[in-house]
Amino acid sequence: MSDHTHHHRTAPREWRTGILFLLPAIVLFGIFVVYPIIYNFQASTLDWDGVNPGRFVGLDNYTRLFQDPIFLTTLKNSGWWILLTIIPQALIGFLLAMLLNEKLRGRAIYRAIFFIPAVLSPVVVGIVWQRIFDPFNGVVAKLGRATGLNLLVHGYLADPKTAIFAAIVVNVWMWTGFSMLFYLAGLQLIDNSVLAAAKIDGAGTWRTIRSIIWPLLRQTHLSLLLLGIIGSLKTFELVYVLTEGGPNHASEMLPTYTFKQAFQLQSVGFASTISVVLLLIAVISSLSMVRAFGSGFLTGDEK
Amino acid sequence: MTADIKATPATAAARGRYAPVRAHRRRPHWAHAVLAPLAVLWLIPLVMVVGLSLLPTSNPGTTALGLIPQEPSLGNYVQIWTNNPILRNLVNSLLITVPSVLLVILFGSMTAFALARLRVPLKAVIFGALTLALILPMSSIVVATFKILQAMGLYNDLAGLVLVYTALGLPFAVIIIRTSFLAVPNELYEAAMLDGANKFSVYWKIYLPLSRPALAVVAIWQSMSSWNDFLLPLVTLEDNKLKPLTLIPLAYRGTFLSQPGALFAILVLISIPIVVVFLLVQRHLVNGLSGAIK
Amino acid sequence: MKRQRRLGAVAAATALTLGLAACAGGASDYQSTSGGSGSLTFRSWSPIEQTTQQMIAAFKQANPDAKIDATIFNYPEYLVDLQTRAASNTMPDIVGLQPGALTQQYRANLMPLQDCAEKTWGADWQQKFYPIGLEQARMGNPAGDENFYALPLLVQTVNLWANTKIFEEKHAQIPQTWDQLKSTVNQLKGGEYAPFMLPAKDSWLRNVVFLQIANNIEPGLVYKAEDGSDTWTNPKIVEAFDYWGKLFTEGIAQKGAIGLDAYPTGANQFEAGNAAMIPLGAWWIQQSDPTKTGLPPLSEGMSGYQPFLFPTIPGGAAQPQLVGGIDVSLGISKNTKDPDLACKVLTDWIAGAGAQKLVNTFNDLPAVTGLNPEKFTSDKQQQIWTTLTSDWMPQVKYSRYLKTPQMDTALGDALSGIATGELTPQAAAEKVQAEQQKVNG
Repeated sequence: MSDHTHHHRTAPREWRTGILFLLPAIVLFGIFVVYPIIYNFQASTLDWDGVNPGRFVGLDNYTRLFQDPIFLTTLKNSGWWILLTIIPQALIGFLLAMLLNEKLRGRAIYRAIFFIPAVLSPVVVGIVWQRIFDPFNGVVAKLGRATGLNLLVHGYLADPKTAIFAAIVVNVWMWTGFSMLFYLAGLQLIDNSVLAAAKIDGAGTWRTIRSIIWPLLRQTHLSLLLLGIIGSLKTFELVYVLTEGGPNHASEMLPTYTFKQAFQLQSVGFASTISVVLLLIAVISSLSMVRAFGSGFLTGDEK
Repeated sequence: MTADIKATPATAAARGRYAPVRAHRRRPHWAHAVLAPLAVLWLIPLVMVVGLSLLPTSNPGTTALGLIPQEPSLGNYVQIWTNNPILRNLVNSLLITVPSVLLVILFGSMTAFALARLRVPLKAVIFGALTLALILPMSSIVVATFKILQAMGLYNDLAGLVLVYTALGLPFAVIIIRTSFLAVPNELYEAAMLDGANKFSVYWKIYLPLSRPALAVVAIWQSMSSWNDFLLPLVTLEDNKLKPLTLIPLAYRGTFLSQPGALFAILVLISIPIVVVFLLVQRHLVNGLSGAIK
Repeated sequence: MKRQRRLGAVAAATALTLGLAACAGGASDYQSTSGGSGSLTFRSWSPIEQTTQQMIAAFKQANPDAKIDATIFNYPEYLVDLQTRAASNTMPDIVGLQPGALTQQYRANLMPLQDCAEKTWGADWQQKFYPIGLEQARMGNPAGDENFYALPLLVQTVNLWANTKIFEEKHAQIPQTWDQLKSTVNQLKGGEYAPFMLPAKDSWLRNVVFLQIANNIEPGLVYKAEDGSDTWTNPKIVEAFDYWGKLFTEGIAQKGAIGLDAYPTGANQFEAGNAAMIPLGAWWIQQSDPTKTGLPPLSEGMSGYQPFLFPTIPGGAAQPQLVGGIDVSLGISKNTKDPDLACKVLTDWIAGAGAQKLVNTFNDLPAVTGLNPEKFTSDKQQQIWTTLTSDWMPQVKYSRYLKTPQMDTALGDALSGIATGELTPQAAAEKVQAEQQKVNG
């Protein structure tokens, strides 16, 4: 970056403008993000129902959490969720973006169809997909019966072995259009002539896409990866409406478990503990991304 | 990233080489063969959403694999419209969403500019801390946020919601806009500075206009998140006159409500403005960067 | 110097947040945020919005100066809202409450209501209510605390419902014993509908079905296990878990039952004629609400429905037992600005003009006896109403809730584990017992 050439002693002066640019964000962030985090942390040291005076219990909630088998389930589910939403969403989203970046009849309609699921309320999505997956009366099962594909006649949301995966399918349906949008925006950063090269049919196309366009979208991939990890970790409403975290906690995610603890089981202290751990996991994830992809990912500096 | 653009094998020279390709544009019909089946797959649940919103209370039966009602009717929409001050709720939703989108674009792009092009201390720490705001689920912070708004005298005030959504939307905006700023060749920045432009005008006159696709994505995302949230307005608004659209469906989700028709109708209605925003904004996702710079 | 100023600003911001942070875990002092007297706020998840508006209108007819601002919404969000408001001094004047843990959680913020009841209805006011409602209203009070922090508004039985159209077409009999249930299900199989639709995704539904089974096997035993005078591993309770499992293993419940929610999907399917039997409760009569237009044919005047009790279990009680309790009760914030008005509204909705409006919609059964809808749309509707309010409700001895949310959750999880084959009845009973010991300390 250009700043590297400046003399060291001018740094504070240089910082002034930078800080002015950052100021609104820092103020808002300090008020609306830092305080809730401190609040959650403080509450995590309490045995507290959220209403009546709490009792300080130190780190007891953390001990309890790490011994809780449901916590393990939520970690496992988050892992699956991260893996199985990010990759398909990226691949399908990239494919759609490549196809829909060109002039094509009905382009806006296609874009809208793939994007609308992301706009819908998770409540609607949850209720509809529950009906779709219902093995007694749902679309999937009816198709299965009509075609003899018994594989389709199964209560995927009702089976603890498959519930989380069924929820992931719904999530992919819901958010792939968003990945498409990202890649569309990413493609706008690439020189038109590069994209034109990819249009040529024949042996070169695939290679152009793979060895030129895909790598050029590195920043988009990384942003999507970061957002995907965090989005997966904080998945709440969709799972809550689809399965309520069931059957028997099989599809429980950290936020659904937090919600149940805080509001149904009146354990706000324990729920805050889960939130704090969620926060730590998110921080660790972004730090590992820095490690894996170099600090340039965060700062924009060349490696 | 800046280096990537420069290092691309297909810049100036390549542009000439591939130019003829643009002549036959009508070609990629084959794309429909991939897109159409996927679109049908994507449409099935959407048809069902609309279908259920047309499910009349008098006949809860469905047909066509349960996708559409036996007797579709607009009754749910009429009911929603007559029982709720939809227009007033709509205005409130707009009063929350529009300012928060504008603020998040302004503050987010300023932050992104500082992180991408200016010299500030602790860049990595700032960026890392920003991602913290992304992870906070609303239900975990609602009590704390409520207390802050109360302390600031913003209880029962739409401005409070605007500030919270702006704060929570900033990290996303920063991540997306920064990526786009980094893709603007650094030479442009240096050239402008040599011409004597100040940093703010470089940001405002060069970087912002060049990042329209990224701003479009941010606008869509921020519209969605501030438009759809219901938990915060639910607890921080007391006055019925201030309530946004998203609080209507809650009344149609009662424990013992057997008929989802009205719920679906209102949720479809709520989705429409965001779809419109998407359709308007996605037009900006067409011109490559190279075209914009020239 | 600039830098120092910046540091100063950061320090100030930090101090501000730390100052605010002192709030977590503390009890809150009250400051009113709502308007002056003559104006009340009401928040609840029940009765439904449209009915609540009618009740408010009825009250305002007699009290034109009163202003009641009601917000009705979904139960999970209601819990968030109530907790946030109670923690930040913005608790509504009148709140909807569930008996037991929820009422107890807010006890310190609630006004004892027996004085209000006595002033309004006289010294023998308790005679007005169904006994199970009053009993549950004080569920979980600390020993020696005889106050009523909430009074029941609506009560209910939990039971099964039959689609009589299907039963008539198939010449089937409503099952009264477990064996009849099995044979009826077999008789009704093969159609477009589920013989026994069990929407078991919802924890509350699993629990009420189980409690009906368990009380039919050995009446009252689970509540003894709850207070520690017996255990969940008692063979009779294990047997109840076993029968719950048989609903799934013996093909009584439809496929995928554990993934189907009761509302809206299960209920909607039942109303569309896609099920012959479904476990719900007395509130199902609200489908025939005459104040609504456009009722489906089955619901019109309850023409297609018949309530019945869960079949008896071999070797269990000779008669099916009645399980039920409070649907929703009402409480008044201790710090309401206008306790007299709040009392007036509360009692009006429970047993006055507002209550009449409420009952006219058949929303659920009233908590007080002798209150009937002004208009029935069919003889069958009236006959069902009489069965529910006169024959069943006074007989309800057993609660549809356990005392703590921890136990409700543990039981719901155990039942889910049995349904999916992850737990044997014995293992499930042991898990629940372990949780019970934790809860009882």
